[in-house]
Amino acid sequence: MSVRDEREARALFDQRYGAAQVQVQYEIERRVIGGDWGANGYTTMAQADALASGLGLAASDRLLDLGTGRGWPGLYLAGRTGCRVVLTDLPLDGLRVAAARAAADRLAARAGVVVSAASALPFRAGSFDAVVHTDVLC
Amino acid sequence: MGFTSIFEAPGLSSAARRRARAAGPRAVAMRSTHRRLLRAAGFADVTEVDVTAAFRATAAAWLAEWESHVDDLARLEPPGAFEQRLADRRALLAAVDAGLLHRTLLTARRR
Repeated sequence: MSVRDEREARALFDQRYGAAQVQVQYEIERRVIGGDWGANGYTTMAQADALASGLGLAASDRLLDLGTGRGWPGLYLAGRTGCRVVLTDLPLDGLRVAAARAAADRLAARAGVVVSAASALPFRAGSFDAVVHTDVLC
Repeated sequence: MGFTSIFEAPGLSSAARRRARAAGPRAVAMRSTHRRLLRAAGFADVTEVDVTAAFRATAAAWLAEWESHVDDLARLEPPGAFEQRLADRRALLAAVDAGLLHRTLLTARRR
């Protein structure tokens, strides 16, 4: 992906996450992927569960979710497994929604958000036990 | 590490590869396989599950839902943006149906 592609993608998602979701969008998302996270990719709840199983995620783990958008699937995985999660992405508006959802779902003590590009993460090596990214590479 | 990826089907002709890249997401092109890339990056125990059928079903479901709610959804975006998303999703679905695009779910562990 070129720098220009990255800029265009960022502008697109800035615009998309800057718009508040309305009820019909959540209803559609629930019918399509089984959740209501403000996502519009292809990762279903069943596939998020498969990631959790494949990674052996447990309550003692620290999970990094790259390109989380509005918090999918990182917050879901934190809720399901009890792990701690750091959600990263570039669009600030998406992370604001994710932080609000974490608070509403009583996950705020185990969930943090960080504005960061995946190519320049501000974390020391070994900070996480597992990393996920869905619908990010493409 | 666990992730999903959409990628162009292996063994495509040049013309088919161009169509796959035009219809797929931005970073759909690959010069290697996920397994090779993960191994080169120091990962082992790579498990890969082909989720192309589920991808097709999910893409079709999004498209059907969006087409059923065009009026509600189009007004949420700048003029023409939603129509472009519909066209992009139709092209993507056609490419999946033509066998040009696959989707995979991978997990791997650091050596």
